[in-house]
Amino acid sequence: MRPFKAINFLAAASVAAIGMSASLASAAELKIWHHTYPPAEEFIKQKAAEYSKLHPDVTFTFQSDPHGDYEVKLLAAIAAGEAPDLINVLDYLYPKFVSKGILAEANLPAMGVKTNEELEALYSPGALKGLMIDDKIYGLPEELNTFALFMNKEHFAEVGIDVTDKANWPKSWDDLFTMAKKVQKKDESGNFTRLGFNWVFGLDGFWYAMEYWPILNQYGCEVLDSAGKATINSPQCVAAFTDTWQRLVKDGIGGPDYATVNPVNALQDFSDGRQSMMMAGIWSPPLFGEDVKKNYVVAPIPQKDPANPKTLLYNYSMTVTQASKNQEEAWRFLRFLTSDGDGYLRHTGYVTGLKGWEKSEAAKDTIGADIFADQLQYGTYFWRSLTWNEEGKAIKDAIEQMMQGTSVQEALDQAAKQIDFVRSQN
Amino acid sequence: MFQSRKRLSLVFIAPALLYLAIFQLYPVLYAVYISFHKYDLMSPPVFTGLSNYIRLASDEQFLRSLWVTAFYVFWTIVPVIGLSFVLGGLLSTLGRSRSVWRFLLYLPSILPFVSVALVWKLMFNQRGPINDALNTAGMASIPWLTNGAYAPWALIFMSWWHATSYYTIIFLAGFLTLPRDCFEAARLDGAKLFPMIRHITLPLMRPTIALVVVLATVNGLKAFVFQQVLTDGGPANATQILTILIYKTAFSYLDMGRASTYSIVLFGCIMLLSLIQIWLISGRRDA
Repeated sequence: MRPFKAINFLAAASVAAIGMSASLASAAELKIWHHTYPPAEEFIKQKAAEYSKLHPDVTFTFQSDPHGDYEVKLLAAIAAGEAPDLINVLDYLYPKFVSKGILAEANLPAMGVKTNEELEALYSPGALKGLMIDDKIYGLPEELNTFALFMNKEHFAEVGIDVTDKANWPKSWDDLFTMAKKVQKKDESGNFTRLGFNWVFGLDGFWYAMEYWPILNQYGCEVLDSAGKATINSPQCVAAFTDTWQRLVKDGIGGPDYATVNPVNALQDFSDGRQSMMMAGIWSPPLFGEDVKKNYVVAPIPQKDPANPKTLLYNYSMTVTQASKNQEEAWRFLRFLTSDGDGYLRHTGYVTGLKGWEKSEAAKDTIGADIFADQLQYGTYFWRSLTWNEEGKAIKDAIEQMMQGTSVQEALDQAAKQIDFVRSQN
Repeated sequence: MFQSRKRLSLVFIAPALLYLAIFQLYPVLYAVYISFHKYDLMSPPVFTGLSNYIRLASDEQFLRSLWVTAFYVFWTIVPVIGLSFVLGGLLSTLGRSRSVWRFLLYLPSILPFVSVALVWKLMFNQRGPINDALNTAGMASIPWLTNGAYAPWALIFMSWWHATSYYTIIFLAGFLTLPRDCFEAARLDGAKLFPMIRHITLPLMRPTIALVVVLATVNGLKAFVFQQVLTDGGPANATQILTILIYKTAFSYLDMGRASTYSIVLFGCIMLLSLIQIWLISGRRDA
């Protein structure tokens, strides 16, 4: 009797072990890394929980770090062989990341489509363009974006300007600076108590680029020519920076001395009601203070030639790493996550770029969604380069020099020299 | 018996040697190896010979950083050593209140670097207490952290406050070990204060001064946190010391070969300066 019992016990244990290993084999833990943006974190966690309910064998871990630190940590993790499965990547990094074999090509069947064209057809025109290298798709948009002008209507009402009326929106950069001067406030000693407008300062090169790229486009300024040589010091570029960035300081409207630098909320001054106008994306309102949330208006950014508008297009995407052992499951989840465009817009302010997003219920409830939808069609992606970070830093340095009084031409000459040096070494 | 004792001693020191080899020697040797390569962490290193070293001469970012580092180290260590020496000397003359002053003076050294840097960042803010004080005194606000002319000085002032606390304690320890009889004899002979400092205190304190000079130089060259938190090397690279450039080159630009080359140069500078200082202050005297 005893041997029989022992055999039974062993058999049962073996079946249990096989069952457990089979279940472990099909179980997948997806690691998601994202830049710090609390509304997005909450939404992704909520969608991950929904997905786990549908697929109980899939679990998730989530990590976020402020933009800048995030990229450094991500690359360190990838280099150490600890790459997460799903990552949040800006479109300008795609050439570099794809060339290094970091990103996995989209798994179309896992996303329920057969061809790239079929996937592209689900999105607004150009939405996937920034995420493609050599006609291959490497990610899905989480945040297809452009910049618009946010204005505090209460501040303007104080000086007798009704910015809820389109006719009062600044059409040109000259209009913008004129309005900024009217709305700004100073105390008895001449210190600003309210800024009319300011550029971002003290942040990384990407933040600067989001603000100067639309202007460079409007002025016909190219960072690089077709041969890859720096042209950031061309007359068009000098004019672009002179008329906008340098003018801000020359006219005493703003500058780095007056900007609050906060790595989590780059728009602190507008959000707290210390600034009346700013350029930002559709994602920014969840970060506003309660007073500002009730008092803002969205307008298109000013143009050099209003008849021929030009602006920025960028994509903070979600993608799957080449190192992921669960690529198929990761792509399946990614499609599940980003297909809830309405939820994304409502909870995070992100536009996933799915066709017809601007007609969704969430868009109707979002102030300025129509403006963003309209502006997206005039946007172009940043210049493409394997050394974008160093080139962006060189331009940021040039801007900081201009802000301290160096001539625009001299600052941009130095930037061009640095860009050429960096490119010659790669 | 001797052989077995020798073997046993080797067994005892093996863990320490292993630790040094793995965590100290290997990274240094690997950095030297990588400095002869092009390496981006993602693909295998590609041997490029001396090219990383040759390009240093035309690398404006590097040359600028070298100058910024030298400026920062010089203006930090010279006043700090003088100030610490005086404070250490004054502390040594105190009686029972010395321990209270010693604690207060040492306080900045035990505070976390990042917290200290964040507090100073707020103090140097355009609307911060330092500018408020200047305004109250009828002076204009200074763009401490946003202007390349002031930002290096803001970091130097902050380092004075921070580093003085540490080196004062070292000088105090040195002063307390000085033989009292020399000073008493000098006093009986009618020696005045400055001749006593010049002919007795300074020669007797020479080993402590040597230690502080070397430590201050090495720590100054290795500074990172204050620059990273306060200015991140800006504005327009005005405070981009070598360690910041190394960090950015490695982790933002993924150019490990170039970053390692900068590191080797920094390592060489630290080594050379330390040897020269030790030779000047201690070695030459002994010779």
